[in-house]
Amino acid sequence: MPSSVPIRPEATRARYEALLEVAESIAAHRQLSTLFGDLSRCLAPLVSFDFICLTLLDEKQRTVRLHVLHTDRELVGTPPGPTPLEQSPTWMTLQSRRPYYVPDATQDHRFPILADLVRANGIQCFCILPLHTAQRNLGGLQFGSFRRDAYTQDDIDFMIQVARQVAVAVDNALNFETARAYEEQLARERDRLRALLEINNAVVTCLDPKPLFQAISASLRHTFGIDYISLVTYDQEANTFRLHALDFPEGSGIIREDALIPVDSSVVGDVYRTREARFLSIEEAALSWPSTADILSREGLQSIGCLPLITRGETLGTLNLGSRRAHFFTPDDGQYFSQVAGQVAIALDNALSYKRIEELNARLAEEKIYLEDEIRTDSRFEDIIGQSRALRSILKQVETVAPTDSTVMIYGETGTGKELLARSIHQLSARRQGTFVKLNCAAIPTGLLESEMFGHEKGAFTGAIAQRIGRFELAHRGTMFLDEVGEIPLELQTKLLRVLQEREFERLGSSRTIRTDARLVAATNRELASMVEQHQFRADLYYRLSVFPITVPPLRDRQEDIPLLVRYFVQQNARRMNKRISTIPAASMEALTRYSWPGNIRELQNFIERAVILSAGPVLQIPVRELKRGPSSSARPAPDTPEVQTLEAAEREAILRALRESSGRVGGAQGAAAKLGMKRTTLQAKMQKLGISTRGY
Amino acid sequence: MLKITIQPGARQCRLLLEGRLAGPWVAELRRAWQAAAQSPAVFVDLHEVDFVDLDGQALLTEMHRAGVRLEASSPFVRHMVEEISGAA
Repeated sequence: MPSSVPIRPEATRARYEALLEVAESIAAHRQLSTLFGDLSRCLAPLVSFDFICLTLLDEKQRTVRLHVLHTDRELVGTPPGPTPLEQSPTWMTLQSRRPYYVPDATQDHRFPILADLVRANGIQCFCILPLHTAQRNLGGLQFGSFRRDAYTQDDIDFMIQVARQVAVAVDNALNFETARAYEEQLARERDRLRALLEINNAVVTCLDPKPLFQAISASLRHTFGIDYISLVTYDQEANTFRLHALDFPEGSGIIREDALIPVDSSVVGDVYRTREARFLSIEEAALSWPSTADILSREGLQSIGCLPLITRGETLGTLNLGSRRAHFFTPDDGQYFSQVAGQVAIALDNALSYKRIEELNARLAEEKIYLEDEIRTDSRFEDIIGQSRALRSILKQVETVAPTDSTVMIYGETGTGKELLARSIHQLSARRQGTFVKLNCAAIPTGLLESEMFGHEKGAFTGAIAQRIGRFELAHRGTMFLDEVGEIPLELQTKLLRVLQEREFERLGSSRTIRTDARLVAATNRELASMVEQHQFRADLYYRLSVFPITVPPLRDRQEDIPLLVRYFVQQNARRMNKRISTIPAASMEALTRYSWPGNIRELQNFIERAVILSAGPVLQIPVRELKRGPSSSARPAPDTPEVQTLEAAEREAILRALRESSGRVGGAQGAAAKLGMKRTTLQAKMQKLGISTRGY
Repeated sequence: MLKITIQPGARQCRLLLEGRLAGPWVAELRRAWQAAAQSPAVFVDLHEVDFVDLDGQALLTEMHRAGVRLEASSPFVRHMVEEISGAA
């Protein structure tokens, strides 16, 4: 029980006036920390104490936490954490709404934790007042003294009034802090929503993956202060992950765009497989994915987040976030970033689809141009005419190899119908619905051949004013016919070999590998084996091309087919020229059959066209004198007899021969000028006049 | 399609053209010519050009008048170059 020494009325009035002033002062505090700092100073003139503390109630956790406001000596033995309600006198005072006064602390053992504290610090008496408002319990206010029985009843009554004022101040501060916390939470939510809106805007407006990613990463970096953001996509063909885009300006370069990430033993692989987001510290990551953790920690990243990009039931890849701060990601972040990942997935899906559509459109446009060109230059597909044993043997080989998808090499003199056979192989294969793409390697300037075959990117070289899709891309799932394959320069043969073996290539000026499923049919009238020996053709490419060689016989070895071909060409040309030719004289046919046709079917076709033009009536008139009389069909053709040539033609031939023998060198002891017995300057002048260049030797 | 290879040298700059000088590639050649204008002499190699349209021909005429040497070997282009040279 407190002692009852009465206080004079004047002193009591002064006390309460001072209390009123203090109350106004402490009620103005908006923060608990500043209120706590000020309370002991404000209350010291009103109540005598050696120590004062305040306990705050946590009803949810059912604990109270001690806040020491003032003490003359340093307090020892304060509880490290909150005290359970039942073990604290604060709860008792709150329930009873009455102060708890202990005049002799050594005699009080009801609350062991408190008893230990007061004993350890020499506190002899204390009084605990409940802090509460009409709406809620707040905690307790505790005054202590090193003297026993230091407080009178008046003192305690006054302390009750003090406690009421302190309760109001604490309630205000708590309300303010709660309001501020709500305000901060609202601001955070607002910022997140704003970021989500920015991301959504980027999703809607950007169809190119790179600018899309830049917009998204800028928003995330600005709103959340994330240090590292990357996009990883799954490359189905290569069965690996690829770092598609990266925003890590402070990185040292260990992590780079286009880097490959293993499917197993990586966080990305795990998230991709399980479709569950992961937020980890570097230490946690190191337990399961040590190599990933090692790379990230070398870049200073302490916290990582990896989210699956799922859209339309498919996982496209992962969105990866990183921070150099430890424990950066909170449990709340998981749901929010999953929403972001959802938006990114939609955007990425749209961007990839758009890119694919663009590529397909470009390819379609190129195919259309190519096919229109084909229609113009080769308006009808002519059947292969003939019944000779030699031709039937070839056609049998074509029937055998066509369905197999194997590379075919067609050998044959010029004009023997190599292209027709190539088309037949395509038509008899499973690729007949695909495009038959033809490329005559001799007809394209050497410098353009690579671009023609493999395409180029805009700006790849001077003149590359737009992206171009190459023939191998056009021939995807179709057939690529390379005519005059022996004319391909050595340096380009390497790239062709890679297409045959790896089925992939890069466009000129691009590092992106493109895969093509084009079946190759090649043709040449040159002796590739000799060219290999002379190091003009790669041996490995030669063997790769010669998987199934077909040698087309020259027309002179299929004499029995000549009459059939003649009748066919006569009909074709007569119809086209609106003529009626019903008779081919026997002598004419015999002459046509006996001729050796060095130009083969093409020469025959042209000859018959000329004959039809010259024929006035229904009888075919052939200019027999134009046919050179050759030996019988069983013998080889006789060597050409020299004809009279113009001086210019003779000069040209001699200069070209000399250049070939000297490998293009004009001057010097072994040069073409020396071989021809003339000065270098004279030869150069003649070459200029005749339009002869030294390139290509 | 036209590929332009610029081969700078001490005494002359050689512009090697391959393909067709037509359409938008005429402007490309003009740009390449302007880039080579610092050289003492400019030489245009048309041996690998198989077609020149009217705009291309007009540019070659302009270049020839400005002192650029033209050389070609295909019949069509050589004939055109001879016409340009003769007209100049």
